[in-house]
Amino acid sequence: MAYVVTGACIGCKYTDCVEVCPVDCFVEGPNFLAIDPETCIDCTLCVAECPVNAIYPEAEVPPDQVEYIALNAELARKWRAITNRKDPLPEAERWAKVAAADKRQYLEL
Amino acid sequence: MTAQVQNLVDHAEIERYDEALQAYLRGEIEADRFTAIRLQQGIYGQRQEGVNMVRIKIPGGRLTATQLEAIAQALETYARHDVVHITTRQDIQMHYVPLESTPAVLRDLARAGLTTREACGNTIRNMTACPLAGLCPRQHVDVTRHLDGAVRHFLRNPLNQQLPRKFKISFSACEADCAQGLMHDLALVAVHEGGRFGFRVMAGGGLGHKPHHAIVIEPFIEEQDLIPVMEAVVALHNRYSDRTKRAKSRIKFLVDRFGPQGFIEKYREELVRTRAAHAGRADYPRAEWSAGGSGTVPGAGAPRQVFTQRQPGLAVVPIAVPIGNLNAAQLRGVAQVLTHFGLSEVRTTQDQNLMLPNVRVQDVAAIYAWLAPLGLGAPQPGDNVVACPGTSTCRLGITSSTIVAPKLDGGGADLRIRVSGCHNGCAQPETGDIGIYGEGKRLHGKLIPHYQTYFGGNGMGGGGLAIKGPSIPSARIETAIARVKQDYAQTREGGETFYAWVRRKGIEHLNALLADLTEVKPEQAAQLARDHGDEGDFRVLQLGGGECAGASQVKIGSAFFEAAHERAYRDAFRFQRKYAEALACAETMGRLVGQGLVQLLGGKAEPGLEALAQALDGLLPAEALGRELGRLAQALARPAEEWTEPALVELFHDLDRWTVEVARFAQSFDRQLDLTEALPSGYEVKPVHLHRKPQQPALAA
Repeated sequence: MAYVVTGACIGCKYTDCVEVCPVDCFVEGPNFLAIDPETCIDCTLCVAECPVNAIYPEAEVPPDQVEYIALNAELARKWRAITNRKDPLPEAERWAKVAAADKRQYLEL
Repeated sequence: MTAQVQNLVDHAEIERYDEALQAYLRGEIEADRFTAIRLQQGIYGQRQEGVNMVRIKIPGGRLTATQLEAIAQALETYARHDVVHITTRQDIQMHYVPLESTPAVLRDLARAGLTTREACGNTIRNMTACPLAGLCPRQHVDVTRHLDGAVRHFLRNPLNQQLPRKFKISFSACEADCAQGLMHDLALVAVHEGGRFGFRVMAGGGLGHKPHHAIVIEPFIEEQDLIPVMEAVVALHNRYSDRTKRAKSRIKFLVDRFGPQGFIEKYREELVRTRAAHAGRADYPRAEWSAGGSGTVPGAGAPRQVFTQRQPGLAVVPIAVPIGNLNAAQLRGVAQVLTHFGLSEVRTTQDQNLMLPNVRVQDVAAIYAWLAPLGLGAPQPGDNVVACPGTSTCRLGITSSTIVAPKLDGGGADLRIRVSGCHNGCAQPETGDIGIYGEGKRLHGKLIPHYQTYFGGNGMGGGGLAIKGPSIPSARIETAIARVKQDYAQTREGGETFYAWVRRKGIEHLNALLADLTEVKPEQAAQLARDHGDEGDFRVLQLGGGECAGASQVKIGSAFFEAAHERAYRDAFRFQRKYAEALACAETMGRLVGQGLVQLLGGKAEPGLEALAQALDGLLPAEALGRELGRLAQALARPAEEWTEPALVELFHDLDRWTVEVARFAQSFDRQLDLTEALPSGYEVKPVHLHRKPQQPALAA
């Protein structure tokens, strides 16, 4: 099992999760973060850090977000690791109010 | 002389554990449910399949010769590896016990008065005390009396069975606070102020993820207020800590959430109630107080050399135990020393060592001579190194703390070195002179094991948590520590402590000193991607997380335990003839139990008793449970003035009988449920999975 970043992250990218990860398992795309399931050790620290509650254990990902399980694994192979916290995206606050299910179409790959 | 070590055993709960284990092995209880049961009995899963860690609860670290023998016996008979580990909470844990053997281990330990109950899980963990409690010339009071009283009060207390997360308590006998209160969820420090004796109370401290320094919530309380005050802080944690985000459910996060002042206000609200419920009780823990001397402060662990006790002619003999590991022969050897020299106890200490109290000064040399063939002896400068088990056995381990720790030493200045295998802080790195914890950093496409460094920690009175330094590749950690020690030796002013030195030089100085060691060039990545003791590339095993935060809780279970806590208060208030308060408790009990059952059945947890009664009636038309709750609700709504003592007794009996009937129904509905420990005394409702007799007689002896 691993933890999974779901749609709520799109457009926000707060990166508080990156700072606490003890094994640097996050990767970064233009407007989304993903967890490398090969590296994640299920320590749970990132879950509580996410201001938009985007991170779930694989077994508890909401039904309308399950595609993110495979997507995290795929993006982890494609994107670069992010190991330090940085500023959220400029319009993070606005995006934080958009429902996760409505953000999928805006994911930049 | 020191108080007798108290027996904390409940034999019946071991038999219940065994029956639950057999039901689990037959496939009648799910893994999650059984995990919760075993954690409550101090049994953890291990990195290795099929074997377990058994943690023995040792309040204040005090053990008798018989108990050491019992631990040795269990170790030899059941564990696959000949080693026990002394923990920083003064427990002793044994690893590699096959699951099937765990009941036998618990029984062997119980025969010597040892319990494992609430050594793990979301409970109040082992309470620790300053190592020299009862022996120290500086003490105001022998806090082992208060610690023992608090243990008696909280062990198996319903309030403490399903807390949002674990809870750690320490006792210190004077302001020097050798028990390191500042890192505890709740700390009691004996103080002498303005001619009065009592306790200073601190709360909200914690290490691990986001370390917090405890805040003072009561500058002074009287001895008789100890239990109500402690209970108020536990109740505060129970009521407000977030049960859904376990990474944030320690009490330290409530200080952030409410702010220090708000936290204290919330604590005071709880205190009004706990104080009222405990009013008039004369059985509070107490001891004789005195001003205490001004001698040497012994420090947080075992004293570093033989220490003269307050009792004339007697001394404390410290025994160094490298990274806290002892084998059966050593346990038996120390037991023989106790017997031969007529000593009543040995203590485990927070720095993973042992100490022998009450040794006649003329026996000291003979004792060390006796210990030498066992490979044990006095602490030596530099060997004050503490390590958690790390990747050797712990499911949460990231780095191999037990391999690297023996390579480290604190040098001539005898610095305290603390090595944790992950961020969870079991080796208490933020209280060491030099503390490190393991993590992985991804660099140049490789996951490279690192140690996050901390410098200048001291958890005692007037101290502070260590300051975060750089993260160093684990292959270079010995070099890093050697360099810091050397710099300290060269630039230390007079007798300056390491704590003071770090603060004078500033963390920027240490960052600069170690800067080159943090740099990883692409061509170095392959070589650095190997942890101490590893043959291949560093990899953190994915084990589905740890069990430290406990297994998932069944809602109706926590409802029943909360109701049991309310029942204790209800009866206390009735005894004090505070009928309105007693009725309020009874109403809460009805609501908790009713909501628990409604939720179990998939219904809506209505807040009012009448609405709950209707909901239950709708869900269970064939049962009388809803109608009976309706009847109780009407009675409970009558004003307190209308009640006489006998009528109230009768009403409360009815409520208890109804509670038991709800338990009976709930257990038949959910066949894995066991609510036994939350029911009023005198009632027994055997869980369905236990109706089948175990194949062998449960008690061997």
